[in-house]
Amino acid sequence: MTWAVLVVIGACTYGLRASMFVALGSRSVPEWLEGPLALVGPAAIAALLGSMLFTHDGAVSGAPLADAVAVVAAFIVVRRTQNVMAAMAVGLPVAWALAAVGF
Amino acid sequence: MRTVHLQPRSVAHGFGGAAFEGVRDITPMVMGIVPFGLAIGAAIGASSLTSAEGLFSGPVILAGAAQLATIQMLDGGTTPVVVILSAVSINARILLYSASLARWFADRPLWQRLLLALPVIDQMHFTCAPRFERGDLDRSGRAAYYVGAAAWLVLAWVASQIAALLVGAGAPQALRLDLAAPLAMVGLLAKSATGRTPVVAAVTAGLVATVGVGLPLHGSVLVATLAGMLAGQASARVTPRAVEVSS
Repeated sequence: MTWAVLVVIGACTYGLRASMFVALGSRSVPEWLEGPLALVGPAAIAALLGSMLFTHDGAVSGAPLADAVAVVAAFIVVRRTQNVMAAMAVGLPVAWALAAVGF
Repeated sequence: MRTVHLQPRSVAHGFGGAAFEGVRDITPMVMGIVPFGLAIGAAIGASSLTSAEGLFSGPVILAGAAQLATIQMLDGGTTPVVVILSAVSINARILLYSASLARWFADRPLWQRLLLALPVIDQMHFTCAPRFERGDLDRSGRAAYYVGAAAWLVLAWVASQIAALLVGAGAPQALRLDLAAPLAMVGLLAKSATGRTPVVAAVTAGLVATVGVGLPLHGSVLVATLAGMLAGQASARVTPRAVEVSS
């Protein structure tokens, strides 16, 4: 039964993935849809981030101070450097340093 | 309204160069998913699923949150129908990524589009869509970039789960690898969300995802994403009028 469940979930998820690849065909995206589609990225990233940082076990919960400071520091550094790798290069040491002093 | 360049302005890369660029650009995302892959590998090891079943779930679902939820629900004896509905609901956002990425491959034959759809997931969209919108990759360059990024992402995803299953997710808690994924995402957000419209979309989506955490069928991320898109679009309509009035 486990195998069957996994195959069905995989098939349904692939259906979601392939749906627009098949539906659009050689047609281009309607103009009215271009604006909203350009916002999928920032909106989805922020939604996932909000869910990761501020919820726990299905309830709203504040992010630990060290995590919040690390994330804000990472945001500022990437904003200035435009280098996404800097997020981890700065964020993780900030979290380690705060943990070392008891946060 | 953003201009979308479906035709290249210039061909800036050979096939190999574009593939390598895809690998390079998705690397921060890969570093973000490896700790998640390790955690899922450990969850497989601790569950009643066999190693084969658990490892099969990685590439076949290819979406961390849904995979983890599936493993936990199967382990807890949840009814198959509920497991399937929950996993597919968690993955519903993939429909939006499909719509966003498909347009760049619309001129490809159906069989190629069906293959290119296989790795559609958050990290692929976050990496490839902004790169394609720069408009300097031609048809072949886009495919090479996409395949390079996908290969590296899937390889790291599967390898991290196998590694955790074989040797245990033994990384010390103090390394805070659990922060890697949010940090990679916040980095991407800092780079990509520039200008009023995407910022409004991001702030709205973040708030709705947090407040709506209790929505049924794990729907908060999808609902929040749609709410963010709507709010961003609304702000884009308001802004030009505001400028008009002030000028």
